[in-house]
Amino acid sequence: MKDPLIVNGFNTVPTNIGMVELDRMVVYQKHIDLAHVRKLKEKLGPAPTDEEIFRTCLSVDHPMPPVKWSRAHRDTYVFMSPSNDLRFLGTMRLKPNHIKDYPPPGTLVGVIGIAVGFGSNFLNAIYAENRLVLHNGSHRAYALRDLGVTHVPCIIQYVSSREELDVVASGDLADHPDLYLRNPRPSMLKDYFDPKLRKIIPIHRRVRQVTVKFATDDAYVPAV
Amino acid sequence: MIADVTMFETEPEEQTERKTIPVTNGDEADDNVYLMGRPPLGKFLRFMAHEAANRESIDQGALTDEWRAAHNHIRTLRTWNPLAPS
Repeated sequence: MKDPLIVNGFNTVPTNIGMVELDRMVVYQKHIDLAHVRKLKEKLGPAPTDEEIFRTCLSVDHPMPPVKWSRAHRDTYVFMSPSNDLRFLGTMRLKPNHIKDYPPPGTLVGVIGIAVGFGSNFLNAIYAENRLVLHNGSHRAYALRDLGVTHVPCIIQYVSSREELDVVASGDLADHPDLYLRNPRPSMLKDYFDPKLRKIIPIHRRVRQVTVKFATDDAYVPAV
Repeated sequence: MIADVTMFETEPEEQTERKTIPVTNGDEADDNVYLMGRPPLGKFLRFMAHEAANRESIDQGALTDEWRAAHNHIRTLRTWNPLAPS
C-alpha cells in the first residue's frame, strides 16, 4: 500500500487490498484477447504459486512495455505501443530545477510537461452497491481462472455514492453504471467461459497510438 | 531491459468505443472472446461488421440468432444474488 502508484493512484476513496473470488466479479469489458491470455498463461505456467499470482496481480516492479514515439509535425508527437494501456496521463507544471541534463533553449520561466505513459496496471476493482466490479485486469483474471485459480489479490476501491463512482470509474461502468450495479444479472467474469454467452471472434492485431498536439499563442494585451 | 508486453493490461475502456481503424492490409488476427447477449444487438452487429477479421463472410441473420439465444439465456440467470456464495 506504500507503493507511490497506489498512494497517488488510489487516493480518492477508501481503498485496501483483499482476496476476491473471481466468479463473483462483475465485468464490463466485452471482449478478451485470447492471444494475450495465452502469453500470460505461458508466463505463469500450469500451476502458479501464491507469490507468482500475487506478482501477476499486484506487480511492484512496474516494468515498461515496448513503446515508440516520434515527432510527426512541429507541434505533434505520436506514441505507439502494443499495450493499449498507453494513455495521456495529464499535464505537469515543472520548474527549471526539475529539468536535469537537458540544454535549455533559453532562460526557462516554466515548463509544461505533457505526460504520456501507462497506468498503474494493478488488478483492481470497485466495490459499489454490494457489487464488486473488475476495473482493471480482465486478461489476468481470465488467465488465472482458466488455470483453475479461484481467488486473487486485488486492490479494492470502496465507493459509497454515484458521485464517487463518477470520479473513480471509467469506461462503460462510468457511462452506464446501472448495467452493472442495478441489472439483476450483470455480466460477470465467469460468463467469458460460458459457451452460451461467448463467441470466439478473430480480430486484427492493433497497436495503441496516442497523439499529442500543442498550440502556442503570443499576443499583446492592454496593461490595465 | 524492455519488459514483455504480455505483462500489461489492455483496459479499461472497451475497444469498440474507441476511435479505431479496423481496415488493414491483411495483418494477422487473434481470437477474442466476446460476451454475447448483453450489449444491444445493434452494438454487437456493428462490432462484428467493423472489428471482425472475417467480417466479409458474416451472416447477420445467424449472428442475430446467436445473440438472441444468449440474451434469452441471460434472462434465465437473473436469480443471481451478489451476496450469495457462488
